[in-house]
Amino acid sequence: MIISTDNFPIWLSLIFSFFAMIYYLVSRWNENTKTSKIAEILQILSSILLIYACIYLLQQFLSGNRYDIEYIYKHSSVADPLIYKISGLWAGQEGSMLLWAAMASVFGLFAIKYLRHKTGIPLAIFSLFQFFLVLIVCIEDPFKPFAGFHRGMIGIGLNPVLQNVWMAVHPPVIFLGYAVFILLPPFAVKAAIDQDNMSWAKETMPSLILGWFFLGAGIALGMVWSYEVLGWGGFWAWDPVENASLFPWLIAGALFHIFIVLTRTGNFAKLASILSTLCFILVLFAAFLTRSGILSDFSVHSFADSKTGVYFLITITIAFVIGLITTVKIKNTHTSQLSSKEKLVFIGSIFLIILAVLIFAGTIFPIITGDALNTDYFNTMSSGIAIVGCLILAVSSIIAWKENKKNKLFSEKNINTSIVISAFVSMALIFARAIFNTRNADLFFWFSMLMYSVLVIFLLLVILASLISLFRKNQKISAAISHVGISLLLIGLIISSASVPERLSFSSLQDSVIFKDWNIEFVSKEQTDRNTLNLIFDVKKNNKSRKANLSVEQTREGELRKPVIITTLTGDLYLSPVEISQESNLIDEKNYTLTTTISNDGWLSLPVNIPELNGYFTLEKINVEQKSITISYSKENLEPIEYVITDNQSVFIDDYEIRFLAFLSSEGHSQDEITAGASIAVGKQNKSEKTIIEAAFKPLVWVVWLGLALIVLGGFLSVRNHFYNSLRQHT
Amino acid sequence: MNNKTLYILGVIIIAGFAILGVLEMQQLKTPYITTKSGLIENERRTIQFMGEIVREDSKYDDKIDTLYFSIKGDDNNTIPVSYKGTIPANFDTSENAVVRGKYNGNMIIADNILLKCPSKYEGKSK
Repeated sequence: MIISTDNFPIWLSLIFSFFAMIYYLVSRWNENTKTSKIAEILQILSSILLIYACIYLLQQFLSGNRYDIEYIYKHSSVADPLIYKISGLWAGQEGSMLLWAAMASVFGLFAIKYLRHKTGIPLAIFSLFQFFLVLIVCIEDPFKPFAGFHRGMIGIGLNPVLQNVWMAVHPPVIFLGYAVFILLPPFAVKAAIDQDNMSWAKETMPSLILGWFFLGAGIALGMVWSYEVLGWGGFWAWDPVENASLFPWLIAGALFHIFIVLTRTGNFAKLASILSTLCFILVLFAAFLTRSGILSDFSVHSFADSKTGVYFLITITIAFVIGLITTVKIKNTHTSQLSSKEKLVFIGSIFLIILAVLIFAGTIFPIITGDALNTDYFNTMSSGIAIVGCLILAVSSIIAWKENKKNKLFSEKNINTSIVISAFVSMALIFARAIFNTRNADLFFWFSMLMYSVLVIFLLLVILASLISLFRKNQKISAAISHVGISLLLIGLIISSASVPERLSFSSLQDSVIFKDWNIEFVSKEQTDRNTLNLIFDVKKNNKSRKANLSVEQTREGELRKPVIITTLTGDLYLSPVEISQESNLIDEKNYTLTTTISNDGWLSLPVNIPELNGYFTLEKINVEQKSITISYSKENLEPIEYVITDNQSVFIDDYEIRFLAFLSSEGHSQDEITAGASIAVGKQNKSEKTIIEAAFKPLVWVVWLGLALIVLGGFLSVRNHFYNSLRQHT
Repeated sequence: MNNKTLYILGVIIIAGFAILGVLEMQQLKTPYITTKSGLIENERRTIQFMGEIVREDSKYDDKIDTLYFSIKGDDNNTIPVSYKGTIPANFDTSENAVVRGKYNGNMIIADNILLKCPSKYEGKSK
């Protein structure tokens, strides 16, 4: 932690945010507008310095001559294209922490107007959180000088796994979401002081939906990246780091729905306060998980040993205490009885929370028990919960907000009964799957099929109900689009993941293999540079052919196998390289026996004619323990040369390989003679290569993309509506 | 159904999902095992065995695409492993492996091999 001209702004920002908090608190006691003005100026200065530091770091990345900064040296290089020089900023933990803190301070600047309060407490709490985020930036120090630097160094370059457009934009979008959630606790605190739940819900909604939108879009980009680049053919692996970004998204979704009920009826204010705190804590927890390294044995994401884990825990504890006090202080204001639809929205939120809790439990399971957990746990539990959730969503989409007593089909009794029945059916399916998982593969398969089929039917019901609701105007367009998007996404994930990949083996160029309706021909193999091998295939279907270039790249993090995806209306053909194995065998192999005889006259070895080599082998030494023999090879006019052949190491002379086969021993002709020897094989070496790729046909992948696009579109429309409403109210 | 009944049913449903979650965890946990006695205790369930690769015993059968090798646990017992599939990349250079599969009382029938390079094994990445 050395202060230099580079990191000076972040330290100054830290000091300013600390004093901003103090001044906000002081303004509470002396109720002096001057004190609160000073506090606001300090907060603005702190934020500007932080934003400046972020832009400054980016500028140093772009300059291409600051490899004396360790962070830039590790994540960038002169040769990187512009986009990856920019994305180097968030390629590691130090830079992404700075970006996150800077983004949070930007949202803080926008929120000053809404969080301003005569007590100063809401903004004091914001400044407190900003102080901790900046403190962690200062400790991690993205500007740390590189100890091993010498002139002429050009940087290692961005990790090749991250060199992808989707990956360049995925982290900052996630961080935008994380950054917005810092506002949730201060808004709740303001509501607790004012005892004004209505304004709270209305003021928080735009930020909440914005955070939910960014986080959702960021997760979607991560899914695209996982599918297009990582080469394993999936979208979501239930990896701890992925799950960590899912918790705040699910909780924010639940909070959003609770706020809807709160604004209509005044109920569930305490629950909303708990969820507001939880959302922010889970964001901190996600950052903590990736920094502490406690899950490094269970995740594909890389973890760095970082000392900042403890500071996250301190911040989490403080946020928890503030949340606890807020929740106690906030009062539910029952203004009206809940209608059927409001009840359903509440119950749906509860199911989102249950889902988040179950995924959370599975994610921290390895930390608590030390054992890994099969990802099937997540699939089963989330599918089971989703079945009930879908029914609730479908029914609540169709019915109107205002109670309609005449509607017999959607009477409260019928709705309640159907939810209870679906919950028990879903629990029975989870139970059956759990029981047969390890005992009976056939029954397990059929129950899985049943479970996913029920889920797909319910998801289709949600789509149908959302479309009906559009005509009946029972639901906002943004909500209907998001709900259809989520349903399509899940349907797409279930159907596309049903495919089983097959391994295709090619023994030579021009070799072709038929997979489903495709004829895949191995065309050529090119080594483009020292680290990259391209395998080019010609993929034909219905006389239409196209080239597929699969590549295997050696990187400092290991092998990167880039897949090729051929998209059709019915689904994707997913080809990914597996391995190129070299095998060698001998052709025209001949066996020879070399012997040596010990008699009274000493060792006597006879040369054996090897016609292939136009020379002679003579056995010189035998070492039974090490399973090796020494032979001498003599040829006309040449000095004999000695070779050692061992059990697992053969010798090459010209184009021929000489292999050791076995030891021999026998009694000699007379009693005094002992003959020992070894058999060897001589043959021409024939190297053959086997290129193996994995092929899978993934049906209806476009449904996944359509679903993601609709979720993002629905989120965008909702953000637009809330900001529009919020602006209209303030003007 | 009156409110009280609904409330009770709600609690039962939430408790039901929680219990099922725990049951699933019990069924699907894949214990990390490093000794032979641990394998015997967990026979026929999916486990992850971590140990040192005994390379002298490794053999690849082309005809059935199966890799055989042995793995040495913390208690110095070597356990045979069979893995159907191609030889994983980095197999020849790795010292340690985590083998996921089931132990049949004689050998581990693996469905996945995770190779740990020495640096990662020490817990320091990058």
